[in-house]
Amino acid sequence: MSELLGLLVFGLAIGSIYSLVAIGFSMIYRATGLLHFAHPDLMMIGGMIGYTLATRTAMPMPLLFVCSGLAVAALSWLIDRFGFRPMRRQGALLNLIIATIGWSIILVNVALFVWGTAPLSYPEPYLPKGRTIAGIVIVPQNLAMLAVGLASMVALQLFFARTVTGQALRATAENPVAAQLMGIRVERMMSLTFLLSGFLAGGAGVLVASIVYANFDLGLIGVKSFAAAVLGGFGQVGGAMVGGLVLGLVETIGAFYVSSAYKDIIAYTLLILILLGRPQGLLGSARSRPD
Amino acid sequence: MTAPALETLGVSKRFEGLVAVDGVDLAVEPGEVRGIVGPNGAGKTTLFNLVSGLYAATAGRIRLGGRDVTDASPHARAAARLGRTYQTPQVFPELSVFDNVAVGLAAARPPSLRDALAGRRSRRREALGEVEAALGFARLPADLGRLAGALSFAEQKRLELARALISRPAVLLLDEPAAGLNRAEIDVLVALIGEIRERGTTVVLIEHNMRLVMGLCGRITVLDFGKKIAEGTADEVRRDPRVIAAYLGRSAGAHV
Amino acid sequence: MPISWLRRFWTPAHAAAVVALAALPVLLASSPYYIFLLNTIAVFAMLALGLQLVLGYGGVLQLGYAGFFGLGAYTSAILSTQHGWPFPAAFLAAMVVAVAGAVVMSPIVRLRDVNFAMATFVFGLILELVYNQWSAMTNGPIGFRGIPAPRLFGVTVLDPQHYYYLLFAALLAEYVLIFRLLHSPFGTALRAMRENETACRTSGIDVTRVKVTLLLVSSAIAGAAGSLLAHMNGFISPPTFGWSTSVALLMMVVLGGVRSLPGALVGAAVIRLVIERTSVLGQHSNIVFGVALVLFMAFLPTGLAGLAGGITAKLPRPAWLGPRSVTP
Repeated sequence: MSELLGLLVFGLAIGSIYSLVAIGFSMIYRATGLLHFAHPDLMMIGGMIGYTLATRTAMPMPLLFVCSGLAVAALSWLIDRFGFRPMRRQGALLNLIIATIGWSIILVNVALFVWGTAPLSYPEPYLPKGRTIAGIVIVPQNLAMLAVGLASMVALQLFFARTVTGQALRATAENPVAAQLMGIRVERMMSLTFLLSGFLAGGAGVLVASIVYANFDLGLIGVKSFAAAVLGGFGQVGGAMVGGLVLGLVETIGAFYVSSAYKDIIAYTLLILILLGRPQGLLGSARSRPD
Repeated sequence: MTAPALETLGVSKRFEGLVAVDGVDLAVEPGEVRGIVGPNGAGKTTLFNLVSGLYAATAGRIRLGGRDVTDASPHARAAARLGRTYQTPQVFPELSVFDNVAVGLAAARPPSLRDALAGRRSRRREALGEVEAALGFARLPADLGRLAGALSFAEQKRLELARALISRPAVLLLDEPAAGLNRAEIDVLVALIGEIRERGTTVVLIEHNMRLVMGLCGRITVLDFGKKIAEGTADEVRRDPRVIAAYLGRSAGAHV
Repeated sequence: MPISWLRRFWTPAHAAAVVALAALPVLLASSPYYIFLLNTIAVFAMLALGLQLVLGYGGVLQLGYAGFFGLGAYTSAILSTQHGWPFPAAFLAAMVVAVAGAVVMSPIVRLRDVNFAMATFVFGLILELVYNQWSAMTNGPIGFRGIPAPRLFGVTVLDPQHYYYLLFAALLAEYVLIFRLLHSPFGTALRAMRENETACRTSGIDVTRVKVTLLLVSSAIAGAAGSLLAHMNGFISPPTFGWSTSVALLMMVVLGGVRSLPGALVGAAVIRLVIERTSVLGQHSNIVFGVALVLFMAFLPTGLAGLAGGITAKLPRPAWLGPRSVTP
C-alpha cells in the first residue's frame, strides 16, 4: 500500500513536470499554430543552467527554479524574436516547424559543447532524499515538485482567467485575427507566450535535472510532454495539465507493474491511440470542424 | 413518383452555442431552378456546406435523388453527382486552366494509383475532349495552358463552373454566382444557367441579386436566422409579409 | 495531342543524367571508398525521393520516415539470415512489411496537420525503440550482423561496383515510377490538394485516400531501400533508423527543394557528403545540420532547386512547382 502511494506521488510528481512543459508547448501551439520541437530542449537547457547555478552559488531550490526559468524565458524569447518572427511573414507553417527541428539540434549541440557529454548530478543538498513518515516512504523532493507544479498551474489558471493580459493572451491563442481586430497587440502576446512557456520549461528543467541528472539528452523526457499535451487535448492549457499528470501516473505505474524497458513504448502507443480514438484529447470538446 | 433531386429533412447545424441552421426542410424537384434567399447571416452558405458535406449536420437528414447521404463524405456526394461552386471562386491558382477543369473529372473517375501507372493515352485524349467541351460550354476560351491565377474574377467564376459541370452533375449548388459580375456578365450567367437546366441538371442557387432570382427561379426558399420562413413562387414570396419583415428589419439596422 | 509522359521524361537533360550516373562507378573505379560512398548516397537518394513524394508533393508531414527504412532493413535481414530466404523474396517481404507498418499507421491520416505530424513523429520513435528493445528479433543496440550479399539470377553481388548497378536500377525504376505518378490525374490531384483541399473534396477527390496512398507508396520505397542497405553493408543497427536519420532525410528534401525530384537527389548527395565529412568534428557535427535547417527555412525555403529555377522565374512564385501538364 505504501508502495502504491509512493508510486502515486512519484507519478504525479513526474507528471507535473510533463505538465509544465506541455502547458508551454500547448500555449505556443495555440497562439501560433507552431509545433515547437525545440521546446523540450529548452527544458534541458534549464536543467543545465540550474546545474551551473547550483554548483556555483548554492542558492535555495525555489530561487534556482526562478533563475533558470528566467534565463530560459529569455532564450525562448530570443529564438522567437530572431528565429521565428521574421519567418511568420512568409507564411509557410511547415517551414517554421522544420526550423524548430533545427533549433532543437542547435540547442542540444550547444549543451554538448558547454557542458560536455557526461551526465551531471546536482550537488548533494538538491538531491531527493526519502524520509519515512508513518511507515510510508516520502521523498520531499517529489512532493515539492508536485507542489511547484500545481502551484504554477493554479497561478496560470488565475492569470488566464482573471488578469487582462491573461485574457488577451487566451484571445490571441483562440483567434489571432479576431484578437488583432480587437486591438490586441498580437505580436506582443506571442512574445509573451514564448516568455511564459520558456519560464515554465526552464523551471521544469531544474526540477527534472535535480532528481535525474543534467544532460544534453534530457530533451527526450520532454518529448513525452508532447504526449501529455495531446493526451489532454492539444492546445488546451487545462488539458495539458491533466494530460501531464495522467501520463506521469500511467508511465510510473506501467513501469512498475508491466516493464520499465517498454514504458516509453507504452506511453507513445497510448498517445497514438488517444489521437485516433479521441483526437480532441481527454478534455477537449468534440467540434465538428469544417474541412 | 420520382424522388426529389435534393432533399433536406429537418437539417440543423449548431456551432458551440450558435445555431446557424435550424430544422430546414427543403425539397427540390428534378429540373427545378431553386433560389435560396435571405438576409446576410441567414445560414444560406451554411446550408450549402451541409448539403455538400463540408459540415456534419447536428440533426436531420440529407438526400440526393432519394439516396441518404447524411453521413457521406464530400467526395462521395460529388460521386453521387452533386456539384458546387463557392461565393469566392475556389480555383487552383497555380494550376493551368486544363488542370483546374480536369480535377472536376474526379467525381466520375477518382484518381487512383492503378490508373496513374497503367493509364492509356486514349484516356488522356478523352479528358482533353471533355475539358474543351466544358470550357466551351462555360464560354471560356480554350487557353488550356494559362494559369488560373492569371484569369479575371469573372473568368475564374466560369472556370469553377466548368469544373463543376464537367462530370455532368444531377444537382448543382451555386453560391452567389452573380456576385462581382457586371451587367453583361450576368446576362451570360443567366443564359448559362438556362442551358444547364436544359441539360437536365437541377440548379439550386443562393443569390442576393433579386432581379436574377425572380427571373430565373421557379420557386424560391427564404431563410432567416437559420430557419425557413417562406417558400413559393417569386410572386408569392415577394408578397409574403414575413419575408418583407425579415428584409426590412435587417436593412433598418446596420448592414452586416 | 497530349505528350506521352515517357517522351516528357526522356528529355536531353534526363538522358544525359542517366548516362552520366551510369558511368560514375567506372570513373571512380580506383577508389573503393568512393564507390562505397556512392552506394550509400544511392540508398539515401531512394529515401529522399520517397520522402519528397509524400512530404514535398503530398504535403503529408511524415516525420518518422526512417522507421520504415528500418522495417525494411530488419525484415530483409532477419528473413535472409535466420530463415534462409533468397534475396528477391526477402526484398519483397521488406517492402510488404514496411507497407504493413504504414497501413497500421494510416488511420491517423484523418487527423489535423499538427496532430498528424506528432503521430508520425511518435510512430518513428516507437519503431526506433522497438529496434533497440526487441533484442530477440533485432539483436538490440549492438546491431544485426551477418546479412548475406544478395544473390540475383545466380550471381552473388559482392563487388560494390556491381552493387551500384543494382542500386542504380532500383533508383531509376523508382524515379520513373514517381515521375509517371506525378504526370497523371493522380499527380494533378496532388497539386490541386496543395492549393485548395476543400475544392478538391467537393470536386470528388478523396483526399484521405490519396494521402494514405502516398504513405503506403513511400513506405514501400523505404522498405526497399532498407533491404538494399542491409544486404549492402551486411550489418545494420538501430541508430540508422531513428530520429536523426529522419531529420537528415528531411534536410535532404528541404535542401534540394521541396517538390523537385532532381532536387531530392542532389540533396541526398550533399547531405550524405556533409555527414561523412563532418564526422570529423565528432559530436558537434550535428550542429551544422541544425544551423543549416534554420537558415534554409528562413532564407531559402525553396532549396537549391528554387535557387536554380529562381534565376529564370520571377519571384515570389515558388520556382519548382513540379510538372505542369500543359497539353500542346
